[in-house]
Amino acid sequence: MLPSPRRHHLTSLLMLTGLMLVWGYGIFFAVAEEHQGAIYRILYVHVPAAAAAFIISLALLIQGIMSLKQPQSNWIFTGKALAEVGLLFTSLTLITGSLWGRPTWGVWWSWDARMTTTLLLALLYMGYLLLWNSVTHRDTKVKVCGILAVLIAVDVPIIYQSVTWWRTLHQPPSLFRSQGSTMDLPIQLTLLGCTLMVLGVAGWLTHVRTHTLKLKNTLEQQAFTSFR
Amino acid sequence: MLSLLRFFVLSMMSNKEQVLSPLSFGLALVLLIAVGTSALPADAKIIIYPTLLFVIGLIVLSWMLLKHFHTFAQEHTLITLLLHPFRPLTITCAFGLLILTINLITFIGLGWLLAAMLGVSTSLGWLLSLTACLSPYLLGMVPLGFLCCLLTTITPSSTMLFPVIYFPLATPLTLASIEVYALLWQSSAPGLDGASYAITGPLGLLMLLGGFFALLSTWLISWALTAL
Repeated sequence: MLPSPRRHHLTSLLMLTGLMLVWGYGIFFAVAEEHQGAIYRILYVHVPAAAAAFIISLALLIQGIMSLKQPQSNWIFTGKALAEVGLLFTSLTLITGSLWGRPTWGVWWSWDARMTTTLLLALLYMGYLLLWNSVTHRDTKVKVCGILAVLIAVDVPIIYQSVTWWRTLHQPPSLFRSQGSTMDLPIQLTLLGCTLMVLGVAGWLTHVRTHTLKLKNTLEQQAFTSFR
Repeated sequence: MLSLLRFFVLSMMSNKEQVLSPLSFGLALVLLIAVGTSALPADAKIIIYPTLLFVIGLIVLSWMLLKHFHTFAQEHTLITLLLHPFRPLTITCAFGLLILTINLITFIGLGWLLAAMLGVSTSLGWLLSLTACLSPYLLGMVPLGFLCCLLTTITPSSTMLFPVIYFPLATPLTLASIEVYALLWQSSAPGLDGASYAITGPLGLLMLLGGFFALLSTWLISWALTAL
C-alpha cells in the first residue's frame, strides 16, 4: 500500500532532496582526482545508475520466478515497474558514460564490449515492456514476462565480465578486484553514499509505479464491469 | 524422438520454400559482400568476413525459426504434439536438432565459400575445427531462438517482437563466436605475420556461453510451452 498523499509527497521530496544533496556534494565538493581532474565527478552519477540498473535486473529475476510460481498474484505489475525504472537507469548509465567518454577517450560512443552489452540491457528492458504490452491474456503475460525476466538477468554477469572477456576501451573493474580497489577511501565513501541514495530512489520509484499500475488495473476492471 | 524428427523433416519438406528462401538469401548476401569488398586488403577482410558471416547466419537462423513457428502456430502443431504423450523436452530436442543440422551445414558452406574467396587454406582439418567452433554457438543459439519464438508467437506482432528480444540475447554468444572464428581464420590465412593465436581462451568462453544458454533455454522452454 502507498502511504497517505501527504506522507507520499513528503517521502518523494525527501528522496529528491537526498539525491540532489549527494550528487551535489559529489559534483561540486568532493575531492578532485589526480589524473582525470573534474571530469571524473560524473562517476558519482554513472556508477550508482549502473549499479541500480544491475540490481533492478536481479529484482526482475526474483519477480519473474515469483510470478511463475504464483501466477495469480500481483507480481506482474512489479515486473513492469521494475523494467521501466531499469530502462531509466540504464539510459542514464549510457548517457553519463558517453558524456565522460568524449573528453577522456575523444569519442561519444565506441562499440566496445561493456558499452554494447549495456546497450543490450536497455534493449532487453524495452523488449520486456513491448512484450508486456503486447500480451493481453493475464496468465500468458505472467509466464512469458517471467521467462524473459530470467533471461534479462543473464545479461548482467556478461556486462560485468565483458571488460575481462573481450578487448575493450572501458577500464577493468576499479572497486571489486583481487588486488584491492584503485580508488581512494574518500572517493569510495562518496560513491557508496551516492549508490545507496540512488538505490533508494529506484526502490521508491518502483514502489510508486507498481501502485499506479495496480490502481489503473482496478479502475479498468471496474469500468469493464460497469459497462457490462 | 525419431518419430518427432521425421515429423518435423516432413513438415519442412512440405514447405520447401521456407528452407530454400533463407538459404538462397544468405548465399546471395555472401556473394554480394565478397564481390563488393574484393578490393580490400586481406587483413581487413579477415576482420570483416567473420562478422558478416555470423550476421548473415543469425538472420538465416531467425528467419527459419520464425517461419516454421508461424506455420506451427497457425496449424496448432505444437499444441497437438503436447496433447500427445510427447514431453516438451523431446519436442524441443527434435526440432532443435533439425534446425541445428540445417544451420550447421549452411554455416559451414557459407564459411567455406568466404574462406575460399579470402584465400584461406580450407583443409579437412580446418573444416573440422570450424565445425567444432560452430557447434557450441548453434547449441546455444537454437534453443534460445526456440524459446524466443515461443515467447513472441502468441503476440499479434511476433515478427516485430522476435528480433527485439532474440538479437540482444544472442549478441554475447555471437561476439564470442566471431572472435573464435576470426582467430581460426588468422591462424590459417596466408600473408599474415604467422604468429600463434591463442584460441583456447575464447573457445572456452564460447563453450561456456553456448552450454549455459542451451541449458537455461531448455529449462525455460518447458515453462513457455505451458503458456501456449
